[in-house]
Amino acid sequence: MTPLDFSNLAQIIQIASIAKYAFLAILILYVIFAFVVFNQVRVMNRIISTPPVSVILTIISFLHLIIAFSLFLFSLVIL
Amino acid sequence: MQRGDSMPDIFIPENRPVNDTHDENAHLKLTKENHIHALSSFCQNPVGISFQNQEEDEEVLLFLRRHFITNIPWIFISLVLSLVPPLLFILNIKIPILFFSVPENFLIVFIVFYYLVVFIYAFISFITWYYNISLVTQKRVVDIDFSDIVYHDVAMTKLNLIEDVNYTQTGFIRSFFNYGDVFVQTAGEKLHFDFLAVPNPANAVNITENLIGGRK
Repeated sequence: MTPLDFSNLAQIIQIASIAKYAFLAILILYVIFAFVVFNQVRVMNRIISTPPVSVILTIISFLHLIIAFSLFLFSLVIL
Repeated sequence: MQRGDSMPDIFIPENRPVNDTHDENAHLKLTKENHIHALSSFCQNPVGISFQNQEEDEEVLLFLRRHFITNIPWIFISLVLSLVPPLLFILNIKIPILFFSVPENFLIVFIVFYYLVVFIYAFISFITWYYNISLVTQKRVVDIDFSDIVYHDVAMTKLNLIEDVNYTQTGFIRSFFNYGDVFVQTAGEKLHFDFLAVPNPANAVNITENLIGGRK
């Protein structure tokens, strides 16, 4: 196996695109994970309710989901 | 012959109010009601808490959660992890690192993602602590376990099924901060209820024992 030659532009572009798709795949998984977290917080709030903290935790987990999804869209555009 | 003509009444019960079905717990209610805040770990007669399947006349007498001091490890780890990128930037000024030779757009996305991961680590650690709750009502013991984000377990047992309550408090830190493990043995389907690292375990055992005494 020959070592990578970074002076080769095509090779650099190929590495960049692999990194981009790998990163986007990780971000998709992260968005799904963020949704699971949000859903679990809602389920737990149904089991035990301690207002107003329960509401605050739901809002935080929802904001986290929004930020994760925004990061995914942002990555689609700038990467 | 009419009743009462020949034999005098020895005991005539007074008219008792209708809603005093739980008088045996009256001594526990003498303690004032307490509002639970976000970081409460031990609360007697808490106000502002309700759980699934709670009956209308059921009141929570004791609220337990792990001592807040048990959160120190994840708080420390989160702080250290959040300081890593700024430290790397400072280090990069003196010694150029390969990491910073990556394109700027990748770097921005990576740093935002890194902080999201640190945040979710701290958030999950907090909710794992927050939703691991044990409750003692005048009717039953409720143990809510939540871990690894996808697992939760809600177990309940009636007070008359409780056979024994005891606690252990070992080690310097536990003695210093006064927290320990409370174990409840029952004759129900779930044989053990473990309230781990709860503050003031002696008091928790005492309250539960008083309730069992009142029931048996």
